Amino acid sequence: MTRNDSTDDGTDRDRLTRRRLLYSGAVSSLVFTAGCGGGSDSGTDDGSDGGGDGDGGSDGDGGSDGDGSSDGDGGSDGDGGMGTDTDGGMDGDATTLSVASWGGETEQEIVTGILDEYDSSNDSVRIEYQNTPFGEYSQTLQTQFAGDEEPDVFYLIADDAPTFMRNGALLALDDYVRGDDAFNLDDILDNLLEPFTYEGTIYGIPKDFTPVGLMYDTAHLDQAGAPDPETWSDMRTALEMVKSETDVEYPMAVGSQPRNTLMQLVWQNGGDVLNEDGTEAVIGSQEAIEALEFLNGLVEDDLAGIYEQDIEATWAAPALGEGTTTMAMTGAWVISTLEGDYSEVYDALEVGMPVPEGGEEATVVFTTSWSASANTDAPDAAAGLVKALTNEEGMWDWASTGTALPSRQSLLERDFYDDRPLLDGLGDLGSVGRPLVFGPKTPTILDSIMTEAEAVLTGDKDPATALEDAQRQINQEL
Amino acid sequence: MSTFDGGIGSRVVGAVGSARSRLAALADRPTTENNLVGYLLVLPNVVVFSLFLLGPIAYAFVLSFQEWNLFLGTGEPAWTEVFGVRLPVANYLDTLMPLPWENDWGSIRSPSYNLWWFAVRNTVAYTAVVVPVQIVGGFLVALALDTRIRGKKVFRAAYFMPVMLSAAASGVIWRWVMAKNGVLNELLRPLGLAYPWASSPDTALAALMLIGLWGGIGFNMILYLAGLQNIPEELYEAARIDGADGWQRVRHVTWPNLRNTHFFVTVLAIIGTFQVFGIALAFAEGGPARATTTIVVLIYETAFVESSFGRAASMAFLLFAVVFVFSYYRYRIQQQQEVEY
Repeated sequence: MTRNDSTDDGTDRDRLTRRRLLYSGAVSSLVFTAGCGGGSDSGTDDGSDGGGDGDGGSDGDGGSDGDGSSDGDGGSDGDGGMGTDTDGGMDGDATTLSVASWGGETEQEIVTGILDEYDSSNDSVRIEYQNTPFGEYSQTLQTQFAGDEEPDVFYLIADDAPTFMRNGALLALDDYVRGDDAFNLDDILDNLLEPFTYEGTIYGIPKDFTPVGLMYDTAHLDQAGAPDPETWSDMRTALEMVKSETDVEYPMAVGSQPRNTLMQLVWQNGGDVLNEDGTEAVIGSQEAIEALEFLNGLVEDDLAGIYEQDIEATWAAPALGEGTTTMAMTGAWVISTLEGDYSEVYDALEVGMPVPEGGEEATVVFTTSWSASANTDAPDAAAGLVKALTNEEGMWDWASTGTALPSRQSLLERDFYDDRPLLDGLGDLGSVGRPLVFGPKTPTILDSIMTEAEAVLTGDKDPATALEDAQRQINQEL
Repeated sequence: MSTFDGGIGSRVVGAVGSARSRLAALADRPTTENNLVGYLLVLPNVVVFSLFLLGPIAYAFVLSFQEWNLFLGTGEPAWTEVFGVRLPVANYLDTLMPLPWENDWGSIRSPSYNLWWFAVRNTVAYTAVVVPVQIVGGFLVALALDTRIRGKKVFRAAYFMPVMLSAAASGVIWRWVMAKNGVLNELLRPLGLAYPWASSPDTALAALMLIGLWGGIGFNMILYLAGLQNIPEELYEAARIDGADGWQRVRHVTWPNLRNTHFFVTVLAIIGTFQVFGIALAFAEGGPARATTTIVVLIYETAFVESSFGRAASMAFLLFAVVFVFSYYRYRIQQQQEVEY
C-alpha cells in the first residue's frame, strides 16, 4: 500500500499545519457559534402529551389544571416558553413586570388579553408575558428561580406552593390584601386560600379552581333504567345496569394512576394520607384500603376501564363525548371540549359526587394562584398586578369565559351559572373540595400512592399490600 | 485577487500575515514548540469541553454530597454518621439503603422498598438481554449483508433506519404498536394471543427490550460491516486451502479478526443499555407500576420531579461507577487477548 509521502515531508507538513490551523480556527468558531445558536431552539416546542396516567387531566384550555402528569392538549402549546412581548415599547419611567403562565391557545389568548388591558390602563407598568407548556412549567419556574431569572408574577399550582413558600421564594401579600375593603379577601373560599398560606402569611391568591366531580351521561342511565349515582352502591348498581343493558363495554373510565379518582374515595370513607399534624402517613388505614378495593372492584369486574388501555380515549372529554363510557371523575377542564365538540352528549351530562353510606362529602380540588417573586424589583407593582388579576373584576374577566370556576363566593353565586349546569354542579362541590397538597414532599407522596394504586389496577398487587407499602415509603420520606 | 484596498483591509491582512508567520515559525521548531501548536489546535475543543462538560460534571460531583436548595442556589453538606464518623454522604446512603438483600430481597422483587435497587434490577435485566442479542444479531445481519445478495443496500438501509429515529419517536411508535388495541394485538387477537404488552407490569420491560433490540441491531450491523471490510481476503483463501468450511471460516477467521470491533461494540452497548432513558420515558414513563423505571429514568425523576438534585447527582455517580467498572474490565480482557503477530 502506498502512503501519502507529503505527510512525511517536513516543509509540506508545516504548510499543511498552518492551513489546518486557520481551518481549525474557522471551523471551531463556526461550530461553537452554531452550538450556541442551536441551543436556544431546543426544547421549546415539545408539547409532550404525557399519556401515562391519562386520568383526564388536560390543560388545554382549562384553568386550574386537573392532572399534573397528563396533558391532553399539550401539543398545542406552541409558544414553548419563549417570551412574548405584549408591548413592544418601553416608557422611560415605567416598571416592567415579567409575567408567566401556562395554557393552550385559548387560555393564552385570554390571559394576554387581560394583561394587555392592564398594561394599557396603567402608565406606570409594562408587561412582558412568557408562556410555558404545562408539562414543563414547574420545572422551568424552579430553574428560573435557581438562576435569579424568575418572572415577577406567575401562576403557581397548589402542589408546588409548599416548597416555594418554605424556601422564601414568594412575596408576602398580607400587607397588600388584608384590610383592603375593595379587594375583599374574605370573599375568597378559605379552602382554596389555605394551600397558599404558610405560617399565617398569604403568598398567593387562587385565581380559580375546579373540583373533581363524577360526570355521568343521563342518556345511558335512562336507557338502562339505572339510578343516579348518589352513593357508592348506587354507582356500582348503575354501572352494572349500563353494562348489561347497553352496548357500553366500560361504563366508567379511570386512569391507571387514578389521580382524579382515588383520593376523594379515601376521604369520603374516613381515610387520609397523613395524620393531622402531617408527621406520619396513614394511607395504609382500613378506610383507605376499602376505598381502593371499591375502585379496584369496578376495574376487575370490567365496570371501569383504563384510559389508553381498555378505553381508546386518553382523557374524559372524548371518552364521554364519543359515548365510549358513561361516567368519569373529572373537572371543569373538560367542559369547553364537550360543549364545543360533543354538544349532544354535553346536554345529557350531569355532575355529582357519590359518597359511601354514612360517609362524608369530599372531593379533590385543583387550584392555582397568581403569586409574585420575593426577589422582584418592584414588589408594589407586582402585588398590584396580582390584586388586579384576582379582584372581583379581574377574576370575572377570566372566569366568565367558563373555562374554570372563580375562587370568590360572590362570583360563584352569579346568574351566569344558572344556564351552565355542569359548571354550577362543580361549583356546588367547591366547599367540600380538598387540594392534593401534603407539604413539601407532595410530589413524592402522590407518586408513591399512585404507583401503588397502578400496581393494583393493573392486577399486580392487592389493595391492602399496596397501600401499606405506600404508607411505609411515605414514612421513610417524612 | 485582492479585495482589500488599503485602510482597515490592509491592516487586517498585515495582522493575519504576521500571525501566520509567527505560527509558521513556531511550527518549524521541533518537539516542544510543535507541541505548543498542537495545544493551540485543540484549545477551542478543550475550552468548550471544559466549560460545558467537565465543569458541570465536577459541579454535579460536589452536588452529590449536598442537600441542594434550588431556590436559594446553595447547598448544605448532607451529613450522616457512618460507623461513628460524620461524613457528607447522606445522599449516597439514602440511595443505597436498605440494601437489596434486606426484607427478603424486597427491593429486587418490588419497587416499594428501595427504588434505586429496583431500577438497578430493571437496568441489569435490560442489559443482560439486550447486549448479547444486539451484538450477535448485529454480527449475523452484517455477515448476511456482506455477501452478494440482491437488494443488499435496501436491506442495510432498512436495518439502519431505526438508528436514525429519535428515542422519543421510537418510544411513542412502539407504545401505539403494543397498546391493548394496537397493531400488534390486532394481529394476535385472531390467534387468541392479544395481551396488553405495554401496559402490563409483567411484560412492559420485555417490550422495552424489544425496542432496544430493534434500535440497536442496525447500529451494530454497521460497525461489524466496517470491521468485515478490514479482514484480508488472503486469510479466507488460506482457510479454504486448508479445507475449512463456511462455519469454520466464520468461527476461526471472521470472529477472531473482529476482536477490536467486538470490544468497541460491547463497550458501547453496555454503556448505552445502562444509560437507557429516552425510549423508557417515551414508551411508558417508567411505568406501569415502575416496571420500566431504569436507573437514568429514576435519576431524571429524582432531579426534575422531586427536585432532589443532590440525591439525583449521587445516583448519577453511582451509575458512572458501575459503567466505569464494566468498561474497565472489558478493556482489561481485551488487552489480555491482544496477540502480537
